[in-house]
Amino acid sequence: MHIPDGGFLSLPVALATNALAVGALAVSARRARRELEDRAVPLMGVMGAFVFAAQMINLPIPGGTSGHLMGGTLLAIALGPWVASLVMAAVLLLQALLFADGGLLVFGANFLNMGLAGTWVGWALYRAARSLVPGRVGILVGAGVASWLALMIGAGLTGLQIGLSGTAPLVSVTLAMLAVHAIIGLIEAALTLTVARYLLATRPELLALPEAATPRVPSLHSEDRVREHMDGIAAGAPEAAP
Amino acid sequence: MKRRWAWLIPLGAVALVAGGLLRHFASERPDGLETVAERHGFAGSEAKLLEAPLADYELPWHRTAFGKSLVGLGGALGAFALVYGIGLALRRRRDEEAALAAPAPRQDTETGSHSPPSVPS
Repeated sequence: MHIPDGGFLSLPVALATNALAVGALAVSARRARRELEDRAVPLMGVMGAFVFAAQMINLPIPGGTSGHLMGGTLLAIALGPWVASLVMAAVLLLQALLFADGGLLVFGANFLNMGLAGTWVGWALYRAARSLVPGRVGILVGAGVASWLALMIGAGLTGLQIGLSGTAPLVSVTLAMLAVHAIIGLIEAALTLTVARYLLATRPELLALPEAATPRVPSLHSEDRVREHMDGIAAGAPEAAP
Repeated sequence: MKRRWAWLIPLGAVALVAGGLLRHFASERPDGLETVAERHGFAGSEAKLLEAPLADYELPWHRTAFGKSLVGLGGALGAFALVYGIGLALRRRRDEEAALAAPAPRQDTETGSHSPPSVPS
């Protein structure tokens, strides 16, 4: 879904989306540093590498085309939407500057489609799904559905930008983008779900919603809590021989 | 310390394996946007604004499987370093702000749930 430089977007659309992107990045940087947890920094790095690497792996889909993970929803679930959009911006810049994957002049458009729509739409839908369906099921179904829809919104926006640029008829190109990405979105959903499952199994507290933080259900993840407790003890006391 | 971050190792390993190895099995077909561009007749019109040194995730002077692996691996490591650096910078800025707002040292850095630290305004 990376828009290349030249030929796809008109200069006004490129400039307008860049202006929006710069504004959004400034706000994100401010909010992200307020909401960033100390221990989330290594996770940020690893998730950045994960999304970067996954975006190199195109999987074939029917109709002679291919698609790869976008990862916006995944980043938002793991890191929160403010941090997620910054991570996506870093990945997109790296791709444009070093690897000719996505243009530099159209960075704003790509960031809007993947770094903002991709993360925020995914985040909002994920939260909505979680409040509708409590517990593990809500998290997993939410992650799958949200990531599919977030990719669709990003694809639709890409089509709109191409249409507004006068490159192709607006309705036709937007519908075509949606149709292709409806299938690519299945890759998005499957991979997002897989990683969400992994995070849920290893770090359930990472996926806790802010307001769900008060009374945590002890039964589900008590094992992990015991382990955490043990870690705390181990950190304070000299390590016992194994 | 070792245990606190052990759960990140599989995720990082997947990224490295994807960049260094799995990418050789990636589909060469056009992606969604390229397919749409072909069908609507505006594919191939892209112009280069800058010459990216590692276009198509390959070493331009060494277009081999080894070169691709190297770029994939290095790219994943580079993405980690870049994003980790951004995280550190954000954290430093936040701590500077917190130090300005409240002279008392922060005690709650390790207890985090998802809730943001309450900064008195």
